[in-house]
Amino acid sequence: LVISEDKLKIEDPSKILNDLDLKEHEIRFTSTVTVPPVTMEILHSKLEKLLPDHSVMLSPDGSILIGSVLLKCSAEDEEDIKMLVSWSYQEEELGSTLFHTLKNDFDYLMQL
Amino acid sequence: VDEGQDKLEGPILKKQIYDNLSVEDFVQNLAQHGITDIKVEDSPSGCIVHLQADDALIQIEEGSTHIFSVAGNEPLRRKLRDILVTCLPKF
Repeated sequence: LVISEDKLKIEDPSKILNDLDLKEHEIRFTSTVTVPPVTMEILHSKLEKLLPDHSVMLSPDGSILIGSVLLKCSAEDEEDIKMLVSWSYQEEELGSTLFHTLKNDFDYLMQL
Repeated sequence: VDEGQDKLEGPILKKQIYDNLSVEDFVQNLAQHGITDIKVEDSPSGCIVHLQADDALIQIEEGSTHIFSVAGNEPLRRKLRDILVTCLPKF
């Protein structure tokens, strides 16, 4: 909400930063989670069911993108997969919920 | 108590955060919150703060901060997030 020339206006925050010549500070998080063996294709299809209102994209390099949230396999062996989950502060809810689901509710996710 | 009441409903309005982070200020704030096992190392584009006991590192550059939680320690990440946000100007 901005007061400009005695009028109240609703403005996009990024436009205000630009107008005031301020630079946004970007915050990003990356956390590691270990999950049982699963292909990125299966994980992709399960996440599409978990998040029907989001666009869940599988990249050619095998990582999964949901908005600014990135899921990437960092190491795997026969027993488990180490996965990086990365998200921006602006998508804190989605990123941390997804991280929590992979860490604590993986079986539930696989049953979808 | 209805557990549903504790859950956040609807989208949260995120503050717009701007400017650069003062590393000194940030480290001081970490110490105030009991995180003292800290090593600060210069990097080509800024610096890296290592939390040696907690397996986490924070990459600070001009206009951006990246928190890596190597062990996936969620309570620690949230704590670091909140401390970081208090150190930056916002509206």
